[in-house]
Amino acid sequence: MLTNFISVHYCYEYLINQIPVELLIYAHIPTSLSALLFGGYIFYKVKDRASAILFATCLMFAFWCLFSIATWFAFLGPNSTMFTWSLIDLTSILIFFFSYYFLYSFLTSKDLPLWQKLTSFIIILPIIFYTFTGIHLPMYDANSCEAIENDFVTKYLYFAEGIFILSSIIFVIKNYRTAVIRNDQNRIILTGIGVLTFLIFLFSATFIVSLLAESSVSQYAYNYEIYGLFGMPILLIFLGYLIVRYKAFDLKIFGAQALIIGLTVLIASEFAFVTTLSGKILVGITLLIMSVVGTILIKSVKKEIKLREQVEELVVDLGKANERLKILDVMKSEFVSIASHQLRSPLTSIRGYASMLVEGTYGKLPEKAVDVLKNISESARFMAQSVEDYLNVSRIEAGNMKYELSDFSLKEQAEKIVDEMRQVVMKAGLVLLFRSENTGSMIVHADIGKTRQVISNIIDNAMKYTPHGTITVIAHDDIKQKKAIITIHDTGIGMDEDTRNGVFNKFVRAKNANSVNTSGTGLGLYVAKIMLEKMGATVWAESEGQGKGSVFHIEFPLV
Amino acid sequence: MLSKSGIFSYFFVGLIILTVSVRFYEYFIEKNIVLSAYTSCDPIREKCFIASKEDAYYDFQTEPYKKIEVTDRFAPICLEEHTCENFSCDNIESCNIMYCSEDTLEKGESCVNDFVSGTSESTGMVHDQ
Repeated sequence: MLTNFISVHYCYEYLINQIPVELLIYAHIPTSLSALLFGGYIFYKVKDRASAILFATCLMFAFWCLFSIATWFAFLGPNSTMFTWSLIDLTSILIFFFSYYFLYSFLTSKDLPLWQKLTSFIIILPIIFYTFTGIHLPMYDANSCEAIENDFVTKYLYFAEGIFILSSIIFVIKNYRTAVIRNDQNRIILTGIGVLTFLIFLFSATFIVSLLAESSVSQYAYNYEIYGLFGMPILLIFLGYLIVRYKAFDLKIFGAQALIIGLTVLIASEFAFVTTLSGKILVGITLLIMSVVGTILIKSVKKEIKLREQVEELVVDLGKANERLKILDVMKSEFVSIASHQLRSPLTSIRGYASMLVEGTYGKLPEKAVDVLKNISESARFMAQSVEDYLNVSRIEAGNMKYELSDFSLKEQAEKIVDEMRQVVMKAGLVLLFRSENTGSMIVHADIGKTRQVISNIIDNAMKYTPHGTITVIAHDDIKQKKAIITIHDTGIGMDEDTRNGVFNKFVRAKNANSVNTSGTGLGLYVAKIMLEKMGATVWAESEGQGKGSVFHIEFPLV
Repeated sequence: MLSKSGIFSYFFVGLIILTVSVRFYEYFIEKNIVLSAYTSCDPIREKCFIASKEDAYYDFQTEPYKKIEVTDRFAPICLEEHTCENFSCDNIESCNIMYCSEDTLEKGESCVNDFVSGTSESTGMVHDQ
């Protein structure tokens, strides 16, 4: 393909004896294309100052590669060689300037100050001048197909490039020292190393080459210049890492994407080496497969990342909600506890004084007044019970309910309670009976106080919902199953199926409950159930239906 | 209204474009390039350069040669292809031939012994024997 462009055959022969053309192409084309694509993509996506300057740097680098390879292809003619050679110095110094400019802009997010721009212009001006006048290339050497350089101006170029390298080093060190956050320091170091590696590679290769060419040590001194180009892929790798790891340019590109792109470019660059048609086809097919598989992989990874981000967001929201709920829960429990305690004291006073008035401590009162006081006392007692229920619920839900477990006879306690409550039940016009059908001693391991509370609650409930008849408490056991059971049977209003299923839930009362008892919080049985479960016991209710009484069973494991 | 920085940037870019344009004009339109080439030399009629195999930078330096400097615009293609025979600057503008002498020798070069005429052809310079 190159043979179509040969103007000077001597130079073509000279070239192919000097360096493999494939190496030239591989060093120049993929690196410059990668730089252009990378810089172009970043600028297209971000469109801010730093990305524009990065693109300018990559563009200047691409021009440098173009001019460099054109100087190698001297078979195009001396005018082409001299033209492209004359612009290399200018392009080179612009690369150094824009690299420093990019470093500044990227790390500070600010524009380069005008005084620095002017200073840079003053440094670059001599190079613009000698490029304009052409004095840096006095002659074309047709023997080596190269331009003859003016050594003095070439030395000035290295001096100017050295200033930009030194400025970059000083800038990076200064910024690193002033950075406080670890992340910022890492960004500065990585960007600095990337840019400086690129510049030093480029500088070293051209500087060393010019020394070799001057000393005539090697006829093919310029061959070593191509190794300076590999500083650009190093810069791209550093920038890629900054984008993936530190979200530089606010770009969301992840590792898999960067890897696939890098691999695709590497495979595509194989075209520089492949000369046979079959080789080109194979590389083409590999490239196509890589592109397709890579695209699928990137899409799949993107999806996973999106899902993971959504889950992370949900987790954060959940965490916040949980914290709020915890606070609310504590506040609620505190409120209930304080309110309940605040309510209990006055209620105790009301009941106490009401009782004293009824008993005639402050003198005999009219019967009607006594009845009223009894109602007041009863209401206060109910309210105290309600407050106690709310307190218990609050303690249970906060996990503050304490249980003092010990061994005791369940039958004995049940019998005691029946004896204690018999008078009250009789006053309500009911009969309270106790029956024991146990074979063993019915020793259980539980909290005596709470067990008594539960049994009392259920008898009290039975009393509320039995307008007339009998309440029977039966103590029995099942030695084989190792169970001790207290059954409380009443001849009250009974329960339908719905009520039976929900009677132990919070704030639930039977539908027909108000017909016999308007008071009731719906918490008593809920509290009883929770407390029994905590002690390893169970409770359940049975009824043959409305108007057919109810049966409550409390079952403890035997010790 | 452009800022100082903006004006400066436009000026800078303009200067670059102008520089590139001037170079393009010089090299492609005017072809104002001084070409330096070695070409074959007749040791009987001319004082020629020669180099040994060990000292030769280019292969053709082992044969007698002379050094030509000419503006590319006027240069024949045989100079670039190193195929010129009996090249002379006759009727060629801005052409200069350098023959071998003590003053013109470079590292690794020597003059061919059998030099006869001792004159040089040029449009502006004369080389002493």
